[in-house]
Amino acid sequence: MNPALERHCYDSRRREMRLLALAALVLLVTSALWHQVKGTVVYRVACSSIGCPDRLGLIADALRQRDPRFPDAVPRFWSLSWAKPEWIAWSSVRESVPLEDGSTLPNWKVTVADHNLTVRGFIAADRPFLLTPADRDGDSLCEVVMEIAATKDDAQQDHVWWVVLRLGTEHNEILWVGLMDESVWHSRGMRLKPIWRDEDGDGMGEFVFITVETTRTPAGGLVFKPLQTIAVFEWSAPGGILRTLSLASDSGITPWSPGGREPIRVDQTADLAPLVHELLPAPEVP
Amino acid sequence: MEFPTTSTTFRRWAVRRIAWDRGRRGSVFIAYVRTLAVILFLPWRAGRRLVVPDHWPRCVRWAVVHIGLAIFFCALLANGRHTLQWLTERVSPSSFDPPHLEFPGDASAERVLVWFSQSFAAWAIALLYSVGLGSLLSVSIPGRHRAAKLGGVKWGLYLSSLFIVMLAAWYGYYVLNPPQAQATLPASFTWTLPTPGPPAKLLAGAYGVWWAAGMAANPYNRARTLRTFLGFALLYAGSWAIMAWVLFPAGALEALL
Repeated sequence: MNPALERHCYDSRRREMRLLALAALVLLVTSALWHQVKGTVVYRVACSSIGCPDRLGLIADALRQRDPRFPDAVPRFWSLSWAKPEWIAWSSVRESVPLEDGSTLPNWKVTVADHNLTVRGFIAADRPFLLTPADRDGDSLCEVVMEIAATKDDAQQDHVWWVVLRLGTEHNEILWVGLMDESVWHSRGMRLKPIWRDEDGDGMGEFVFITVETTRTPAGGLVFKPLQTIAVFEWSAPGGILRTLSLASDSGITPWSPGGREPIRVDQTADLAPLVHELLPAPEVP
Repeated sequence: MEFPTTSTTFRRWAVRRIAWDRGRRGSVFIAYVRTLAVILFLPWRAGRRLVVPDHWPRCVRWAVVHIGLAIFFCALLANGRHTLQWLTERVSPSSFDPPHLEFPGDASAERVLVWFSQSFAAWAIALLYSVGLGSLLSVSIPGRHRAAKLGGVKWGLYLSSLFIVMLAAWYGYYVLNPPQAQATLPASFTWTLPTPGPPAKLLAGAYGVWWAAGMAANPYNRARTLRTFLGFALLYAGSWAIMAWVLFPAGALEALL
């Protein structure tokens, strides 16, 4: 065995400097490589993170890299991302619209992107709530459902509008509008819930309203139990317009579809509420 | 005269090793507790007692087990605790179902496994980076005795047990002072556990301070003063910052932690 001093000696200064230079070079090359591949890594990880509610910043960063139309900075982020691999919905506050009484109304710009984080379209609305954005009729474009509440100018405050929109790269298309009197169902202690249903599995989903019974659990949670189908709308008209298949007489729903073969085109940045209120006005108060 | 001298009259000094590093360590449990205690509460003493660069297999085993456990728990508790939430949903399904929405609740097991794996990899990089940086600095600082360099590596590996203790303290605090349960509705449409994720920067900072304390106490150093400690601490902090923020910035990938 070598003596201790031979085993434990000082390295020569030249050797130390060479090793340091080599380490620095390796670090610099690795760093340059990392800066080159970082964008790809962020994108790949973000794609596989769709549905994970805690990686919204990562997904937003990847979306920004992919599409410059995605807002750079917003005062506040909201996102709706569900645990399904096929799609993602993204919302961000665009602005606050001042009202006459001094209060403000949030105006939302919603970005919808698919599983590859390719932006499929934008929507402007007064609320960010959406049903699952997805291709419901097999035309490779996303259909979304918007809920538009009554404004203060509307005579009936317990009416809401449901709009089915097809998202495009340049403009959106209104496929169906429904006016729902919520008081009909509230008085019965129930509420209507819109869902997409594809019972025959042909990829052409039906737009369905079902009743749900709301109960509160001992722990304070809410449970919505589906009860019965109230209205069914299907893709039977040309131009991918929804038409009524069945509608219960006491549903409180007034449906409206574009009359011709073409859906109504709307600008992606336009506020839908005034247009929808004009297409299907709420009934006057008797 | 340079220390330790190459003089033939060089006098070796006795090193009382820490319990885990001894040839005969007696009870494994007692040796473990004593080693952990001296690393935690007397890091300068632990650093000094780990100066002999030998017994590498048990040192590596110590590091592998502690770093492995720390990475696993960090990944499990990573940002959003999505893995824990998913497991909780399987055991006790949530009664929350927002109106008008197709509830996202159930991510597939495959996706949760992917997310867990990504967080695991991110935490492995984060923790191994802290340990690796200490070892790299220890062998890179020129003009130090080879035993001091290797002793620094050995100290850095033993110090990896700090992560587990820090995590236990971090979550112990939240167990004793539970915050009010809250939901992040409607940002994510899922309930989140009220505890925060593991503190990555706090873990790295604590490791740096402890590492500097042990390094400064190495008997092969030319000086073992408070200034030596501050020098090592600043060196670690500066290197950490340059590496993490300039050379290898994680950016949005920090969401995985």
